[in-house]
Amino acid sequence: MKRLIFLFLLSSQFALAQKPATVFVEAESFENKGGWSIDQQFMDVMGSSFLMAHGMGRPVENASTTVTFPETGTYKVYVRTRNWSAQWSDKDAAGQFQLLVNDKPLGKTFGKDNEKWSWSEGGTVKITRKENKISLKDLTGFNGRCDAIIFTSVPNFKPIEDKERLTEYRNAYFGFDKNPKNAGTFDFVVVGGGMAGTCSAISAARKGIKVALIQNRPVLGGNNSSEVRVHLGGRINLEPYPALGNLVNEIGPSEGGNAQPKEYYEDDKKMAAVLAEPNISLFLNYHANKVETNGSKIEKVYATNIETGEKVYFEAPLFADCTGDGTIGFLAGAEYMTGRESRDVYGEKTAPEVADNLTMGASVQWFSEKKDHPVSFPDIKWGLPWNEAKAEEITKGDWEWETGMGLDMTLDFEQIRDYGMLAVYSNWSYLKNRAENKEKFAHDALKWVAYVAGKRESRRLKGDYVLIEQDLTDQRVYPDGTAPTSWSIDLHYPDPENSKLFPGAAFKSIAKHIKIYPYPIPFRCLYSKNIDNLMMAGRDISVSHVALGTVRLMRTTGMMGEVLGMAAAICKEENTTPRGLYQNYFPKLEAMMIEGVGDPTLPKDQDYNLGGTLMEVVK
Amino acid sequence: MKLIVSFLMGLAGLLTYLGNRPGPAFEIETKNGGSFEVEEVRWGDKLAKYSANIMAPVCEEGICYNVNVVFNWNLIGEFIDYQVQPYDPLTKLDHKPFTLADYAKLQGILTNHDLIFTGLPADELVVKAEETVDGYSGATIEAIKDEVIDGALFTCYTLWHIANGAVVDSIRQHTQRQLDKPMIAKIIGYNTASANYYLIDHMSETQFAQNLPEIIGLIQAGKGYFPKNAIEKIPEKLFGRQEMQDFLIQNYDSLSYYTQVAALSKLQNVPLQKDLTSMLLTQISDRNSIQNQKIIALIIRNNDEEAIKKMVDHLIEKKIKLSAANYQLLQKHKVAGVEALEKI
Repeated sequence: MKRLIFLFLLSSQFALAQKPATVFVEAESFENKGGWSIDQQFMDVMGSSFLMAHGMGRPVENASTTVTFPETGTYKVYVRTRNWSAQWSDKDAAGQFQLLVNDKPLGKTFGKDNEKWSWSEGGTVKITRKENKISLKDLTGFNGRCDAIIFTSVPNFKPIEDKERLTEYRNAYFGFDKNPKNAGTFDFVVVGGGMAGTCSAISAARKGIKVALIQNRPVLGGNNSSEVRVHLGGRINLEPYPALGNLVNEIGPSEGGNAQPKEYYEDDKKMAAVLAEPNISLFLNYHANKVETNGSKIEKVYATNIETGEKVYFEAPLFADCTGDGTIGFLAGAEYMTGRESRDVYGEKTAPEVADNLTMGASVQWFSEKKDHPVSFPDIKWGLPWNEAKAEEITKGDWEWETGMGLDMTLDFEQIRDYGMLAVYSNWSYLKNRAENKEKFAHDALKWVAYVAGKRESRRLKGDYVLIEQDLTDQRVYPDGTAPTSWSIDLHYPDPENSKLFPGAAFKSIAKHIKIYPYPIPFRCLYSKNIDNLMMAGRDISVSHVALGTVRLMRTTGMMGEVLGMAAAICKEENTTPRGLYQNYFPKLEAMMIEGVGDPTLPKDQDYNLGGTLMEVVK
Repeated sequence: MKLIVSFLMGLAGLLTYLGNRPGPAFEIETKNGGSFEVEEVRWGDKLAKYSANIMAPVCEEGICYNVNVVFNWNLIGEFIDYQVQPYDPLTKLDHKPFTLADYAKLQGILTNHDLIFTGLPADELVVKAEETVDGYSGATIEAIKDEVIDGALFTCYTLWHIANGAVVDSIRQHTQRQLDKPMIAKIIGYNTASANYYLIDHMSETQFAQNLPEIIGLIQAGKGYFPKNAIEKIPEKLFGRQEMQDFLIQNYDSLSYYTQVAALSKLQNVPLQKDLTSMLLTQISDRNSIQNQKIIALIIRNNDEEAIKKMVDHLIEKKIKLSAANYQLLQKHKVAGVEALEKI
């Protein structure tokens, strides 16, 4: 009895000795990611990048990290996660996982509770030492996701749900906002490392100015990277500036094809080209998400590291928005357009009578591979209702696996991407488990499904000129023409057949083409109307929805980048703005465009996906 | 007498026939090791087209036969049409003969340069066994099904590559070697962008000189970048001719900016008519451009004091900047008021 009382006293003393403490762990900062991937695509909307178990039906390897606790004792556990499939199904949950503390799972299974991002209670855990191994154990292989974990011994602690307040809390906890680091002073800051941004940075660097290139993924190439796997399209080396496109030819993959094995996209080639430029400082894994302006000028762009959460800022006299989403322009208050303009706005034949929000969609491509043995795939309960009529007996999903038309390509993008994946999984699960012809698919295994979705359209920043359909179809060529666009006006719409099967929620698209002559995009479409020191290249330039149909091809956006780099060098030399360049120094840009910035001696043999054009045969 | 007339008419007919009868021009080797002879077809003494009798082996899913057709091309190597021997029709899989619709579709295929399947290697036209769910191979891949004739994929593929392969360049070279004014007129009559491009890419300096009014006509009617490309190809000294300068005076405004710049580049080393200088002066715009600088350089080089003075007054009034090179040129000419101008 004595002994028991002693023990009781000791433990209560011990309990009293535990100072209330809260430990906040960011999942994306785990030391060992295992098979989990960092997903930053929606951080502006839900507040953070997160870890996701993209196993395509097979649970991925555990992610783990070591967490130091200030005190031993009992902690309540909260995990910020969501049940992503709940928006379409109330049966089970696609992405489920456990939290392991020192390799022991907590009793709770996460990823089942809430449709939206929020904190799930995980019960309590006894922490008996300061250094502890925390792991995420994927249970399903279907995109379970974890943003952050809280261990707290603070009585009545309530984790913060409000996104803004939670961001403030994180910043205060990690001290990120107190001293954002100055990333350096540059002549030109390029935000976005797709084809447009990569070419902008290389072009500017070769013209002798100091460039920062900020990319929010670990690889360069954007839609042409191995993460999205869309091949380059359109033509280079066209009139009136045949030397434009030499750089695109230098860094472009030799082989074409959508949804092909990773090597096709030659991520390393783009990376090597950037690393070879001493004038470029490359900031991979940094997501630009805050802008400081002074009047109509951007002074600083802030970026957050998608893995460590560290914040840095960039100062420069000139910035380029190559984000695709027009993020920098949007944050700086640049005028922008979204959706489809009505016919009245620009008098375009192809525009709808009434304006709407029907943008082109984002593709979630995929493919399978044949094994020499039968391969199973889970018979998912949470998928879309499927049957023989809906089943697509195919082993590869190309660009036309496109979703999100009519939704907001920035605010709704997690839903759009998830719906794309849901369609892929629903079809595949049906083919593997229930289809009449399921035997045909017995040896097929899902090899790759994109989790970084390939966007076609979001915000278009307004420039001094907005390119429209008639400019292209009537060959209204302006003296400030730059990179020539050659692809047809290629606009995508929900596939009518697929729409019948999935009313209001098609995940496949069709394309309608109007052929054009190669057309030089006016320089006035490549800088913001109301933000004096902001240029843009890529799908966020100043074009109508209809005109976007042609300029959005990646060989074309790469050539826009070549032009932007040249323009940046002239702006520095003449101490002027892009508009000042247009008004006073355009001959210099013309001379540079005639000369080009890429290696003209390389063979021009990337002849895939050139696209139909009214180009004359020059033979 | 009648007999003699009939005889002479018959002889004339025979001679005409012999004159028109195709004569072998050159031989083309095909990729599979075969070959065919291309013949000139003449009407009188004029080359009208090229023709070849094609015998090529084609296999559809392991069943092979020889196609036997006559192909015709125009003077610049564009495929025109084909004829089938009445006793030797084209066939599809399992030796089913082509229908009328198939023949029409083949004509469309052979003249189309915008098809996916013609750009693919032959082994990518059909589904490979390892890519199918049931191990069945040989089916035409989905992306090209609508483009080709069902059951005659390799007939379409083989014939397209013969019609549009190495023969095209050989014909173009063969035509170039004997290009003369009537042939140029015939090619202009094709009225296509590729015919126009053929001419500006293959005419000699003398031929440009002899056909300048026709080429100017093509520029006026040209679409896309043809006018710019044509201006760039016309030998520089022809820009000193009155008819060329008259054309520019009358049409400068309707040319695209890039064609204008190309023309200005060609004028740099030829003397300019007064009217052309006056017209160009009006083209100096308030917005700085390469065009402005080229016009300024032209006017300075042309050494017409009055025009130079007029230009400098205009530049000062409109505050138009000068390139460093033009600034130096003006200083050399010791033109009053140059100091008031700004450099780019």
